[in-house]
Amino acid sequence: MSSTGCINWQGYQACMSPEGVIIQDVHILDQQRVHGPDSDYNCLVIAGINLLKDEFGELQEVIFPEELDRDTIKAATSTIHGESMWKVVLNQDASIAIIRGKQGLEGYSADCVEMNSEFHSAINSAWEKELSITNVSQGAYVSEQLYRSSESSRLSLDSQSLDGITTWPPRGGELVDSNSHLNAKGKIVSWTKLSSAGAPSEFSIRAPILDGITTVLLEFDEGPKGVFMLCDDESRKPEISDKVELVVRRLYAQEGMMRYGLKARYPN
Amino acid sequence: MVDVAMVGAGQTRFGNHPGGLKAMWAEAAGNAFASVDNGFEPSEIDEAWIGSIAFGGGQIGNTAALLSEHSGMDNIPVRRVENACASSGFALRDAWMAIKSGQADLVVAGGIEKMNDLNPERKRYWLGVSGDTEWERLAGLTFPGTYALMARRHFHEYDSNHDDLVNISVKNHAHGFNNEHAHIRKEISFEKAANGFMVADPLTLYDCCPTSDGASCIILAADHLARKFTDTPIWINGSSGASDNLALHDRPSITELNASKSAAAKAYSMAGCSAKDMDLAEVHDCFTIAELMATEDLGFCEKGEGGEFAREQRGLLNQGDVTINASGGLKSKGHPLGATGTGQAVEVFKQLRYELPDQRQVADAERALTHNVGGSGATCAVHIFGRDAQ
Repeated sequence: MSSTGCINWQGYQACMSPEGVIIQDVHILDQQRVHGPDSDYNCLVIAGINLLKDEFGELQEVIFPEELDRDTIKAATSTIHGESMWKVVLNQDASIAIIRGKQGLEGYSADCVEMNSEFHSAINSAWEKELSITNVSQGAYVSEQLYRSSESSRLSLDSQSLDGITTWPPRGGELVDSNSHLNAKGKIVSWTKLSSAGAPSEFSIRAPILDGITTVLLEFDEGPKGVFMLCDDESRKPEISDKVELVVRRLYAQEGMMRYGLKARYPN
Repeated sequence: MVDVAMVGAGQTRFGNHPGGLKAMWAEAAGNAFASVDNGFEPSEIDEAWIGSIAFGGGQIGNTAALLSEHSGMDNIPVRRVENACASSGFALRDAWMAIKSGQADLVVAGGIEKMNDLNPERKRYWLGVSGDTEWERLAGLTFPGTYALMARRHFHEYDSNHDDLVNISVKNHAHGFNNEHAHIRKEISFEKAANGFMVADPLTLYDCCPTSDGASCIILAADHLARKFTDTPIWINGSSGASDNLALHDRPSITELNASKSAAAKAYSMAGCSAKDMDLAEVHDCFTIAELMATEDLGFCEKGEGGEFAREQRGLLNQGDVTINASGGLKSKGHPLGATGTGQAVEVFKQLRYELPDQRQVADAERALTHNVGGSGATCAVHIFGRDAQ
């Protein structure tokens, strides 16, 4: 995008000015911006940093408020908290600004999606309940250490290459010629929509509210494949060969910690 | 090298078993012991392998020891074998190898699972433990989901559709209706199966096997002992296993199971035969698409012709090219995870000895195949059986 102007960006509304960028969720409830069903400030900030990096190149350090999950943002963007002219401001509604001046940025009007209040209440209650649960799956347990160890491949598609073949998720080890990131774009190889009764237990609280979970098998432009949940337009029925982009959203909560991952969405 | 024969086989009914684990295993083992024509003392057993995914966490450690003590198999070496839903298929292979190696002469291979006592949440934990937890499960996939991805892609690439899967479901329920050991003894109409509750689009409830409780047990003997126990041993002519990438997204193709193809090729080669020589096959139809792909992967039809094979009912009892899942398969007979592989062998034992009622019996059956898959195809055991030793 040019250095000024507003666009749809990674499922959000983004507006750029010389002072920085504002990222707004598209959902509205009672004339107030609210987070989408699998979004939060961390997701908005990651989208904002990705946009600034598109404009200005590397953005190694930014001043983050304490409320943000700095480990997740670092894994998704390689940007860390530190001395910088750039600063993240969390607004009262579901929007953030990343600015390099003392002034905040004003939100702007754009087409929004009216969120059903009952749905909004139910999904937020579900997340709260999920975060509060301390007993976790004894059958398919992903520890925090394991989750963190694969975070950069989960959130920024770190991959590895050997003899011209790109592998994702990376296996590690010494048989690697080079490491790189996949582009967060691919085409659908296959898809399914699981009923809430068939969803993994990690999603059992939210799946009934979402009327099930749609998962797509994607082939990246670079060759590897992966499976991802569909987001932002859950009612859309995918087609094989459709092109989608990957964006960072909430996955699930375990042991009081929110876990994030990439989800597929149809680009605007 | 020594030949290996099945000289006894037994199982519990598959379904809901309110009793305990020990009682369930004792029933299956007792039925196997009682099936030995010339009498059998369990104290003669050298060693045992028992497949299980561990009952929803109820007994993860020392499972086999817990079971063997109540079936007269005292003080012998026993262990649990775990390869997801192929656990007892691999238990059978391990037991076969022990005799082949000369380290044992008389062994037991079996399997057991109890899942229906779990609450729905815990059951889902355990049904999801055999995929790639970190990547597939956290993308919302359980096994209905992974097989649904395979089905949709098969429909896209080949001449197949959901009606073909419905035909498989209807056939297996018709076969299982006459099986006294089946979990779901109910025939279903095409219309009902075609319009079932959608579990994982495009798979409906009638494309999915039930989760069952059950146990199964096989007695294997070396050739020099086999005739002591029976005049009609059933020989294992070929035994093979294979593995593949655990995650679906790491495989070059999702319209076939490489582990099935590889294991079958090796088993056919060992037995000196091919798919066209089989009279019956018990294949791993955890979902109807799994049977459709198995008919291709095992060579009963060409790649891409599984839909046509199902449409033309070429697996129907005594009417097609080869009888597929005469027992009702996992779809109707049921799927007690760890017990399924040796449960398939129990069916073959009875079929090849012509012990079943006419409405269940594959006529003049000489050779049979079992195909036991772990998860979405990461592991697979294939065995070929015959009335004659090689």
